[in-house]
Amino acid sequence: MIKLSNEKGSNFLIKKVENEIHSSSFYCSNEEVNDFFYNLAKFNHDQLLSKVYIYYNPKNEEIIGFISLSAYRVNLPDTTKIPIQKVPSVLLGRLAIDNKYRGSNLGEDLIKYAIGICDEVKNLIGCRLLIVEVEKKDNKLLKYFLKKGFEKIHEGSQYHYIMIDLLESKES
Amino acid sequence: MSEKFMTVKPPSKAEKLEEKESIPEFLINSDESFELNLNEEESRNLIDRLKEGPNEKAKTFLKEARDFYKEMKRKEELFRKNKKLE
Repeated sequence: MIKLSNEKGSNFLIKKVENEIHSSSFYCSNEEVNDFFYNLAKFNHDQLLSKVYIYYNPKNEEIIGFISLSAYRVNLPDTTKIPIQKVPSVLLGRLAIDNKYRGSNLGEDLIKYAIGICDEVKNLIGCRLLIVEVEKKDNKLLKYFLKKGFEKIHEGSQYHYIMIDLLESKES
Repeated sequence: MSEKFMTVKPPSKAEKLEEKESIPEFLINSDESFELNLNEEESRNLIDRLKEGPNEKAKTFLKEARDFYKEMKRKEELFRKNKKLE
């Protein structure tokens, strides 16, 4: 693991996927995610299926991690007892950090960045929740999100579905 | 107490270790579906939460996130300007 001298003041930046990703050293522990990153991320990004943001070192273009975000909807049953039937949301569909940077908490920066993007979206078209589907086997990640104020809204066979409410309080 | 005499206790070794061990791998690989259907009970719970707005922990994290995003945007802008000048 690479030691960071000062995480908060690090000089890493975040940008959208701009070019085809060919010769990067990025490698995380999940082959499916690596495959998505190298073969699908740019396509999805260009086709507006999801938007991919890369955390990188501008000095040498080294990729530290990435996230993908897409439009999402939470559907509520159509009964008169419930006043709304759908809640517009954003899904944080993928998040990965390069193996070299594991344990450095840089994933949190990408989650924060995702919230910033949601803020822009919510003021343009309306969007109330940021949703994350956390694999059931990943208790540590679930615990992390709950500690940050995310709340569980559904439990599927494979994932915990958690959300954070993007509404800004009047005092903030 | 005056500020002069206030001290911040540095985290102990055990606290540092606990903090480090609580950092997850940050790996999310969901199937990127576009919707989630809730049942009636889950929906009622969600609506109750929406009425209340973000909880206290979420408010703190959202504020940190908004500050981080602004700072990152500022750094990106600065980087672009410097690149143009090169």
